[in-house]
Amino acid sequence: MSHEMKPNAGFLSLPKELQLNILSSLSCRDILRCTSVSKALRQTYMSSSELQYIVELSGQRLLHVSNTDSVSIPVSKRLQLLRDKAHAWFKVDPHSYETVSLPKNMHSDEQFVADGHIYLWDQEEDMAAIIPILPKSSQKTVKRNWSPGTLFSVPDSGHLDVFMDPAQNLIATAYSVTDDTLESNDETLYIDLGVLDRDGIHPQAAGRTLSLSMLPASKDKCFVTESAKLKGFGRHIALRRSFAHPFDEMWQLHIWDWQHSATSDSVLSGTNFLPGPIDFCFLGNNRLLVAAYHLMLYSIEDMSQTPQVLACFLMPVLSLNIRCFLPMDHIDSSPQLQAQQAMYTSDPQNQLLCITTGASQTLVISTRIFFNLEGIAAATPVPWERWGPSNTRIFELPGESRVHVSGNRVLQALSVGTSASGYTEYILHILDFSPLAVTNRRGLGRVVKEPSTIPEFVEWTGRPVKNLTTSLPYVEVILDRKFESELADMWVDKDRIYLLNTKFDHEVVGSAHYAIEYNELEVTDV
Amino acid sequence: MVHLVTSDNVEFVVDKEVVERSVLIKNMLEDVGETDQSIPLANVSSAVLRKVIEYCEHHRGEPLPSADADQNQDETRKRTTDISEWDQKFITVDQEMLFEIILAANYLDIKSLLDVGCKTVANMIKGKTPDEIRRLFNIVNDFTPEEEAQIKKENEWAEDR
Repeated sequence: MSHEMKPNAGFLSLPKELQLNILSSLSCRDILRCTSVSKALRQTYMSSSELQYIVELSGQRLLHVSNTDSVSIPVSKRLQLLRDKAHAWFKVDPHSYETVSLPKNMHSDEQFVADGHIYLWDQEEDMAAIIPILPKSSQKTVKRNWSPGTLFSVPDSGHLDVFMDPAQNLIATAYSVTDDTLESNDETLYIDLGVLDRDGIHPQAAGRTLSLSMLPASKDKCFVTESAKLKGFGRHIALRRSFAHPFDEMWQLHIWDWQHSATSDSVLSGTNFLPGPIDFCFLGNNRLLVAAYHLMLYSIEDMSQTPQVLACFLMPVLSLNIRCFLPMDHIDSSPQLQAQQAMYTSDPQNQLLCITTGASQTLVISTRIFFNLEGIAAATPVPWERWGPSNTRIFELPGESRVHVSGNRVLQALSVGTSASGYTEYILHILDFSPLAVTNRRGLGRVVKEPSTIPEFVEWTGRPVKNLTTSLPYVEVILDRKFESELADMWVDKDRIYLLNTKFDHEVVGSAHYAIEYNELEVTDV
Repeated sequence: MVHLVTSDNVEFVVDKEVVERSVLIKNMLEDVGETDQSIPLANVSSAVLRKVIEYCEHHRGEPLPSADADQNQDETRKRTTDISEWDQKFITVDQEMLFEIILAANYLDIKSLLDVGCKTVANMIKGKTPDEIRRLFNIVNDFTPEEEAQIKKENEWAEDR
């Protein structure tokens, strides 16, 4: 009897705090579904910063990072910061930037920006430098300069590549030593593992030097490394080699768990009939993507065996000189080099991979396809029609254009002609592919939801390519400033846009006219 | 032994160690000291208290989460909706009892039981459409069709995964 008298205990009769407790353990999708159940539930959501924060993170494709800094900031403040950030990306003022001068004697072949530093490598002179870029007060900075002949431990070796990982304070140098005393002309490759901010072996390295397994067929053949590329993420580091004639169609990719073993039998190799070397990138800690003929996805979780193929994605065009880049946020960054305690990080399973081809096409691909492998068998290649159009956006950019990505953001520098002073002129396109940006662009940019089609063209192989239609939605803002300088490189991260400009000083000595080339880095906060 | 009296006037005699899983009662006993007087629990019925005691008996002796538990842990705890096998079986009750247990756990301040209850409700919501959630909790849709369409449109992005 008394049972019937009691008010029915139901979800809505729970105190607000308990409703929030329950809802905050749900995913963004489930939370949003609850908001359309009834007005009361919608009100619960609208009055909760915590729930809105979960949705905002997911909508911007970010992951929350738990650390002492982020929990000390109230969630309402974190939510506001996140929304301001999303807004600021489209509000970049191209006329407001700071300039960082770089050493004039440094002509780097390779440079990149990470964690508030620029890293330069001059292959020919065997020099390298790390220069802090407008460090924030809270930031620990590193300043290093390797004078000629000091970067590689064997000075007369063939210098193949340098990989600098600020998040782990790691510098890896790959070089080859050729033994000319023997007739065999055999070369041996080495990768030294050092500390970035001082001299010495990396404390977490399994050894000073990584050693390479020989190619299976190398006994009676002479493989000479023509070019190499070193990349790493977390405990993994990999070296891609291409070989000199007559083996220039072959490639080898050697992967190490450098923190646990200085040797590794984890080797991939293949034949590439396309001009230009293959490329590869790490997708988080356990996946490796090799871009050759097609996109091959491997699991590198178990390093005691050869990487296992997880899937093969067929490319719509056969690309010359394919390049893929995917800057990954480190979650477990070493605190000593970290610019500031990050509150959030890009979701590796939901960010953008950028592939540039030797032709003018740039493919921006959502990494979700590499993580949701339901119904995909490793042995059956996935046709482009099935994975590509809805997960990709292909841009056709004029020559000399540049692209960079960070998380779900893309920065494009489009060359639009040549200025009177002879420089290529650029305009900047700022893109955001995160669903929240596309949903509520807040009147800032052009929303592109409709599919775009690359006009029919003939591939370099002679094969006609038709109907390259892609539809990954994004929001775009075009900046109104034209850049009048040689754009040598360009980066974007969570906080800033970096443009590396090559400029010339003219000097007249007697009747001789000299042009002195130097680099300047333009830094814009976003 | 501690004497508890429920809202429907049923007396329970429980081991101190068991009942002290409730922070509310633990604090009460500390304030009052040793007593034979029964503690009235006006917000908890005998049916619900029986379940709560069953839970506390099972988890007797397990360390209590400290009050100043690391907030980091707190966040990771909340994101996972895993429940142990025994707890899962224990919490397999009708919906009314489930919410009563949650309310009782909240009132008695038994954090681990509150967690089990909340996670169970979260698991019930997971993957359901708004309509299924309405049916699940017997909630009336008080949106106009226009409002509903508008909200659906706003949330569309989260469905496209």
